[in-house]
Amino acid sequence: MEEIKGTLHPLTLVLEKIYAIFAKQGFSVATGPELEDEWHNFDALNVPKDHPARDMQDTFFIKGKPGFVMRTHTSPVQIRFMKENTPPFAIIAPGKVFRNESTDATHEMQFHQLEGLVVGENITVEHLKGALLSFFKEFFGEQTEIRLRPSFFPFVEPGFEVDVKVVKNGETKWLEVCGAGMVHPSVLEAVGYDPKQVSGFAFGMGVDRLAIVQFEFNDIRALYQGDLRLNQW
Amino acid sequence: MKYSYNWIQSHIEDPLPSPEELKEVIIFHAFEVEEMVKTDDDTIFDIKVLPDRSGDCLSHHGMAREIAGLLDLNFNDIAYTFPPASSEVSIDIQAKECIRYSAVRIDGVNVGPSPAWLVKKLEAVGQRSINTVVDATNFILLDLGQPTHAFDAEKVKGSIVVRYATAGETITTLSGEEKTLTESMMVIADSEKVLAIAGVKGGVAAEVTKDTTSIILEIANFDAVSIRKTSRSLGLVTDASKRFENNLAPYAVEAARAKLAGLIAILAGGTVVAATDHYPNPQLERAISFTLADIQQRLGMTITDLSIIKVLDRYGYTYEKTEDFYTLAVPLWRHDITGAHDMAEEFGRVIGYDTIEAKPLPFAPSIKVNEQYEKIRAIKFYLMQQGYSETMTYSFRKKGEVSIAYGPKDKSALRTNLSEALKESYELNRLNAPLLGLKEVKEFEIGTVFTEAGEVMHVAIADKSGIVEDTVDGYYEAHKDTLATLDVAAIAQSVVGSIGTHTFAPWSAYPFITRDIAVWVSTEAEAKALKEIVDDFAAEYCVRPATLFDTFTKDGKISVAYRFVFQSYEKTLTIEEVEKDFQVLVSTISAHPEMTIR
Repeated sequence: MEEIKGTLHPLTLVLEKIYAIFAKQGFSVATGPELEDEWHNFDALNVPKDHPARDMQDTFFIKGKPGFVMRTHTSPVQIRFMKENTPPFAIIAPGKVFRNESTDATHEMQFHQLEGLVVGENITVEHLKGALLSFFKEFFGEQTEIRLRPSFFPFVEPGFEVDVKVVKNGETKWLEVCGAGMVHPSVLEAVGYDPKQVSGFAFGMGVDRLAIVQFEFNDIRALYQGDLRLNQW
Repeated sequence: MKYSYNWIQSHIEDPLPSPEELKEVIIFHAFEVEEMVKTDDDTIFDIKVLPDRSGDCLSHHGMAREIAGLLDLNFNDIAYTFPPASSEVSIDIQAKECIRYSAVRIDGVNVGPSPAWLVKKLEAVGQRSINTVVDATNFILLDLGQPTHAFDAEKVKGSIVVRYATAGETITTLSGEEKTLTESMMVIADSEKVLAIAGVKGGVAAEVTKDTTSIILEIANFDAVSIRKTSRSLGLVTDASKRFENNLAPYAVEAARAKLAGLIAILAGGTVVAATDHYPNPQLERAISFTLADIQQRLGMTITDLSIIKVLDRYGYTYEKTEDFYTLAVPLWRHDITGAHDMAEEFGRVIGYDTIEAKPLPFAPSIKVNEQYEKIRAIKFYLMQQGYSETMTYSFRKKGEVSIAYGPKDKSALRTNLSEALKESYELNRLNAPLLGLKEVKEFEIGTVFTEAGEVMHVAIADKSGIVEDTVDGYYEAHKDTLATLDVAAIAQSVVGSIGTHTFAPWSAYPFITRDIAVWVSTEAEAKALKEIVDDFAAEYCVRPATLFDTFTKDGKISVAYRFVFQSYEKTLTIEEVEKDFQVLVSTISAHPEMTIR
């Protein structure tokens, strides 16, 4: 008999690859609940109630449990970690997130995100660029480049979209894979830090999206069907 | 929002760069351009303006002002002034969330079809033409970002009242929907009825029609949170509500009123007979201060006083510099600028983020082990080594102890266990075992389950003996001796190292058919030759490599059995088609006298 070893889900493979790269840079892993309260998911992240920014993420609310949601991003893990730790630190927070949107080949109601957060003295956009560039170079290859475009996420200022230049099969493509920015002073204040003493950067990337780029999937929905034909690596 | 290149140009004195160049400037210094479409004599940009700038950039005027600042062009900011009227429009402002209410009565208007230039201008950015008066209000919205509304003055009984609705009060909107209102919603009414949902949508009661000869224009400003709540609870998101909920600046009413009245005079004629402006607390100019060091410390980019002053001047901002401190009079339209951190963004994006260097972290972080995460990794690796494959299913199920409000029907609750979905997955994979090249399906999932008591991380394992499920902590504890000694780092390294570069192979949606063959050979060399035949055949005719599923030796002879899986990506294969292909293999093997098919 041929010996059959089990296979891991492609998202686990991608997460392991990410973990290995960030561990080398000294990033620790932080985790948090998937069913989250609105304070951690929104308010503490500078998204007040009745603010249009809440519409940027379609939210699943919990029936009969006002004030609770399925987390729409991994950013609440930032808040939980900061409240219990003292800078300087560097963390990544991988996890499942949920959006109440109609599904198609590129949208799912659940997907995985990877949050990154670095807080310390004199942290600037230079360090954000440095951390992301070295990550993407290891992930996609040495010839990878990144560029920042202005964007808006309430919990950072300035906020960026990070495009990654990937060379695959001789073809060059700019992919939009990551949002990032300098942690907003209101967020630092919400967790009891003094924005005059410390600063930080944060980023968030779609793990499913990275898997799609890495493995060239045609349909994101295949990831959660329980079909082992997915485990091709 | 859709923006016309020509329309933006009309607000800027100097010539704009080409649409292609303009698009690049917008993308790298301001907003995402989702689409750029060239028409006969114009270019239409679909630009995604996010909530921070929706208060000032959801208009051609606002976008032009931003572009003029970015490119150091002369912005054509005409100061429209409204001529005084001889009498007042009777208004009664009772709702405190009405920040400003300006009303203008024009008599003797002629409501008809709009001229071609206006129809074209509106249609270019996706707005349908209705009539001269309505088109004028829509033009002002797209041009200046200020929502306005026109009422048929003959249909208004008594004063215009801005008040809260009474519970259960109803309105039929201009799109024909009847909406029931609550006491927290602001309305525009007269002495008898509701005329409009303030800042959200007009009603039919005082609709302007072709027979209208006298109109009352509303140019107002309402509290952002109030409008947002009303719009959300009525499920009515309009061009007007979108702008008000993003903190439109009330000072802008002035220019909109003047430009709208002027436009209506051109399009529909008539005479302004009365005007009123209720603005009890005029918007105050705010000031913020920052230093060069504030900006440098945030961006880490080389930035000088000279470059800061250059940017401020390009935008025409008013500021003072005393010693190290810049004091900026925040422009009335920039509600998003509240401190030095916002100015860091302004200078960073205008000068260009590409000028910032990439640098390593200024400290060496120390790793803090996340026990839960490490337990999960160890369990995954251990199960993989035991021949189990990992799957992921949805966190949502039809039923559960914790339910989702407004979720899809078949996924309206959170899973209370992993086993139910894993069982479905196992059944699917068991049927597909030949496709997976497996004799026996063994799989697992690790994920969060939700009960009334809270959320817990579980592991569930399925094989032919059934499904077992435990908490991650419980499972880890039960297998601690093995798991704690597992060389997780080494396994992780080999897992990551073995990630192939091959791309995803989509699977066929059609059923598959299997065929087995068992062959006697006498030597290992013959077995090897057989394997080559089998591999070549499978590569050409099958969806996956042949699986060796049985081998034994008897009386000096070796029996080797292979399984083949036939499946098409285009159709359901018939038994006859498969049989025909399979015969190719049978005859190839039969041509070898040293191999005997059993």
